[in-house]
Amino acid sequence: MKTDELTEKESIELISRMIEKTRNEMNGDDFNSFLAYGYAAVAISIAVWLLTHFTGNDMWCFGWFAMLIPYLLSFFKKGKPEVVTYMDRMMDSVWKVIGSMFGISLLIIIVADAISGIIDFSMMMPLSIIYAGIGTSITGLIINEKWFVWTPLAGLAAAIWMLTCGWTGGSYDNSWNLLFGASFLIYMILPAHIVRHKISRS
Amino acid sequence: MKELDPLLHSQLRLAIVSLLLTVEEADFVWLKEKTEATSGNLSVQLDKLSEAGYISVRKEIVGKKPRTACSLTPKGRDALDEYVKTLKEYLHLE
Repeated sequence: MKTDELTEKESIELISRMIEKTRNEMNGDDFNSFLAYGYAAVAISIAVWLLTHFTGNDMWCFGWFAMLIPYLLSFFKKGKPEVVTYMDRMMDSVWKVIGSMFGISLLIIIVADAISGIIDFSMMMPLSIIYAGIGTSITGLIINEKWFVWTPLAGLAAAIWMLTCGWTGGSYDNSWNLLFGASFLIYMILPAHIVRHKISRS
Repeated sequence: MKELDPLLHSQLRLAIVSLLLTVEEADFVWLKEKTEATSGNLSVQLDKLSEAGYISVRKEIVGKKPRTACSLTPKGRDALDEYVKTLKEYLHLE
């Protein structure tokens, strides 16, 4: 492209062409975080379920702290993106709020546990499903992708099941681990693969 | 009839401003790829737009590499808006 002057018609066409070029900026890599957290959740859920099942020791549920690994690994991601769209910025902000919700919940549970002397992080499971589901749904609304918008309802059902168990006198049991993994499989892994497939086809 | 903004009425500068209109920030490499301009030419035109206050240019070091990030300023947005309005008048689209 040169610095030549243009006719009026060419100018309008050039503006339209450039705007059109920025429309398709989304690429499959934008969904790598969904896959990283999704697969981590599925792997941990199976591992924690198996270990708890065969040892009978509920302490294996602390294995869920391994969910912080994808977050920690993200700090080693090199470089900055070549372009930041308004959509990217919006999604970043949404997930920062969701991340803060995780952090605050964890902090309050730690304080409450310290006061009561009972170590119980089980409430983090339904809350995490709800928070991540909200983030995924909002992402879906931003990118106009129905798979991301609606699949978190499956996770919401699992979370409500867990919360109801708590209110009705039940408590954490090993099946929650599988429910958690299944939720992430349904609303993070599946939609991310579907959208990546759509992008690669287009 | 008003005159078209001479700063924007050039193929490469108009392309840069139009690209930056729909993104929050873009780096030099991305702009070069989208405009298919040479590094030297792109650099000169970015300077001109920056001097006019139409874009802001931020130079930083990421890792060990220099990175030039550009974004459209409110003044640049208004200038493009005005430019399009004038174009429409010329083309009798309004």
